[in-house]
Amino acid sequence: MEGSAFTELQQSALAEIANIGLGHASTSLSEMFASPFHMEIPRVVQTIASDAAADWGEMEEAVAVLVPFEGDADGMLSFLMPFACGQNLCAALVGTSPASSAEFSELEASVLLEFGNILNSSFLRAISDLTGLSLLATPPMVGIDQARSLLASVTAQAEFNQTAALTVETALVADDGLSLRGSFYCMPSRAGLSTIFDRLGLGAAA
Amino acid sequence: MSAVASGPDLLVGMGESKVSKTQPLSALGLGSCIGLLAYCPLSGVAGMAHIMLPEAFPNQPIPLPGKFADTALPHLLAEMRKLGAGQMLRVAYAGGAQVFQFGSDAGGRMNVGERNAEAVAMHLSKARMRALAKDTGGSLGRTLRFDPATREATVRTVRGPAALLVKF
Repeated sequence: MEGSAFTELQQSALAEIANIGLGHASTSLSEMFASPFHMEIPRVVQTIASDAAADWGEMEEAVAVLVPFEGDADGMLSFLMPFACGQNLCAALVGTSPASSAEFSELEASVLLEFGNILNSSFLRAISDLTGLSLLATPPMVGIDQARSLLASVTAQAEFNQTAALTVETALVADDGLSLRGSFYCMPSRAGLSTIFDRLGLGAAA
Repeated sequence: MSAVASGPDLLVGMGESKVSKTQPLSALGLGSCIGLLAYCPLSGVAGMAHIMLPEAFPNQPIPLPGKFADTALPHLLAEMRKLGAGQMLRVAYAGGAQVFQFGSDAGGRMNVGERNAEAVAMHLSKARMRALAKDTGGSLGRTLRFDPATREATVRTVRGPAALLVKF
């Protein structure tokens, strides 16, 4: 995203927040699934890479959860995962799994909403813990569609709101074999990011 | 990436705009973005822009004019003229979906698709151009493709095969 260059210190602070956030998330997911989750963070990227869409086939489907947040700092969080991960989640939690994206029931969609809630509120808690800022998640939204369309929509909305963006690629793996792989997008508003950096004593966002 | 059936398409990525006389043009996975297509029947020049946002940010450089509804149209037409397009152009567009169809958008913060569609309609109207076809809104992302050989524009979603949008 234009003009969102971070200093090295700011970047490692963001990576640390992502790390702690995913730590919280795997704890919450372990409780939800009654099975321990382990996480890996293969890559933290500064922006939503402009060629990220190329990782996905033209009609390859995915699930995206989007959670806007507000409070002392505002912005959006999003998690994008392959369609099969969405199916696995539903199978693990409600015992049924939609065969295609057209067949998601309200119950199955609510599983994804709940998952998104847990994942994203874990992140917000990590930022709150580190900064002492009060951050409130607003109700999540879920999209099940072409991965490219979901990614384009998240990117466009992030730019529309003029947010800074941080991509965290991650894998959450449960002991019983359930694997959730995806990309996490943390998109604080520029003002929100400044507030967060300010609290961490890292100076203004670029 | 899965191959497109007939020949190598010129892919129009997010924020880009491209022109062509023979090669098919494709914008994949439009989501909330709009694929704006223009065609000059006299010269056979086609152009496509992959618009992401309704308007350019004031006082900021515009590296990709195709990215914004307000700058995409004049830029696309100028690029098409360089290839010999005239004044009488045919236009169609698709996209502007709200792909986050579950859950609530109480604050209307995810409405950039709708805003994009409105902005494209407004800028076409300002330029006294009328779209021959449009396919906007809904909750499914679209892929827009135009083949100059057949003059056909098609729209495809994950729900089914490509459907004809318009034949110029």
